[in-house]
Amino acid sequence: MRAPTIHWIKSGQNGSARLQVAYRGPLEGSDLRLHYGFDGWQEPVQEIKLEPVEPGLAVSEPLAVTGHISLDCVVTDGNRWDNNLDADYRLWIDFEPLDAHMPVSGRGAGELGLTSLRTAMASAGVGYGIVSWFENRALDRLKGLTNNLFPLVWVRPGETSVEEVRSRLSDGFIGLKLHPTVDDYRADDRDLDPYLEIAAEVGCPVACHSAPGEADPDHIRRLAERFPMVPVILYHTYLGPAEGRRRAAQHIREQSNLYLESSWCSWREVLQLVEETNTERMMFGSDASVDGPHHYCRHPPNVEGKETYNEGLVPLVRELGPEAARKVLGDNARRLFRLNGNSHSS
Amino acid sequence: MTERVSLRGAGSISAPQIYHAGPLGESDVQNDDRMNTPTMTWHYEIKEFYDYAEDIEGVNIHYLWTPLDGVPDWENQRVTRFMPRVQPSTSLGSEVPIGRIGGATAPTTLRLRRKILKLPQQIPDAQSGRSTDRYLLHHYFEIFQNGYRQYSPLYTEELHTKAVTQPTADESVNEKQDTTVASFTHRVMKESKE
Repeated sequence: MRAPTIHWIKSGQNGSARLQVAYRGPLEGSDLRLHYGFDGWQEPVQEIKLEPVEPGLAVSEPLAVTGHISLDCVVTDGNRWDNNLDADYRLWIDFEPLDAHMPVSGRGAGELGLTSLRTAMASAGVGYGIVSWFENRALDRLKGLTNNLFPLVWVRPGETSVEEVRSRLSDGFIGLKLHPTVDDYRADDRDLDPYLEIAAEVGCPVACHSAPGEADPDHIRRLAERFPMVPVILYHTYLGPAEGRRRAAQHIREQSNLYLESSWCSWREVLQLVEETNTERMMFGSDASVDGPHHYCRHPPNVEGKETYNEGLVPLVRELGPEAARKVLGDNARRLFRLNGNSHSS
Repeated sequence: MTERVSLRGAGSISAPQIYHAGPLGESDVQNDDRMNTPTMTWHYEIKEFYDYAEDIEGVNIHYLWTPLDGVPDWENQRVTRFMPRVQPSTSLGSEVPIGRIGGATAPTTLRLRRKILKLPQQIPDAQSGRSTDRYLLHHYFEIFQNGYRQYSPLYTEELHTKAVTQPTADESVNEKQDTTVASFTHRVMKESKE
């Protein structure tokens, strides 16, 4: 397992937490400095020395973070810069997000591989992710390489054997993934029932691509109605026009085992969806890193063509408030997938 | 997802070199509308892809159809389907998706992928105002290899579904043996997939 390049070191003093930045990146020496800003590089941008503690580890003095949401940073040794392949680093103050929707194709070097995903996650301060891929065998290659990515079993009705599903669910996979659009079936297809029965038996959620056509939220709701004990997540909420998102939210209100995931929704849309449903039923996801290592900070912006994830998350967290933000950006998914039930940061 | 990709080596009939490559979860808004038109039967085309390397992690086929003189509108009319790996077989329709074979791990030697595309028997002919059973099918493959996304050349072919003189289901199966383009009823297709 590889430790993150940038992370917090927390220590308590007189009842209040002190936050120091730890750096385990490629730069070394006595002149290491952290160049940082808060809440999306808001001014003033500052610098602080990183003191070497041991080979490969340097730590800052405690930072004054009160009133801030996130820290964005890069590191310099006076000559070179480590800016995470131009994506920068981000750390969230008081919580560590989990991304509920991450396609990863294995350990390959390309934009869909593990290296790209790690860079993207570091750029957004995302510590954990729920991953899936068209072919389950690709995720087998991640074994032993990570402890912060949790795989779903990709189910193709009539093709994926129930034995494989059972085997994977007992071997570290935490739920099922359905993609009716690319796999050419309707989301309420009866051929799905044997897999949903396993999910009900095991107690794991099912994540389903939600989009116009075969993956329409109306179909997904019918599937959820047949299996009321199985949490069913609408990936993307609805990858299509706004009316579908409103219908998806309506289904959430009416069907208690349905949940939304927010990839490709602008932060204002996420906020609206939370308001239309509630904070317990929405989980943050991004589809990282289909846009490569700059997935969360890509320019031109990739979220509805008008914002980046990193730009949108700061105001979203601020508007949601600390408690709701923790839920939406991680704790809801952790609860649903039984991943410790909290934000991993305390 | 907004990445734009240049399609090199496009087919000879049409020449759209730039298209919008959507996220893995790209939707099929307009295609599904078209697919759901009250067509009595469909025309089916089999497409195959052979994994040319061990580290191929998935293959999608993207396709659409246009009138003979039409220009593909990939932005709005693209259909995307995953191509599952199958066990090679000698007879049509008896292939077995490899997920059904034995245990959880598929043999790596099985590199054949196959997808049966569901296409219209007829499409509107803007010039005559009537329907026509001759049209163009455009497709290309999206190949995931070692974490990278690559694209095949764009292929364009003319289809003649012979919808007007459509044979019965059983005759269709027989006819497939000696024609490159064949039509099946939906019922026959369902049987072949089960």
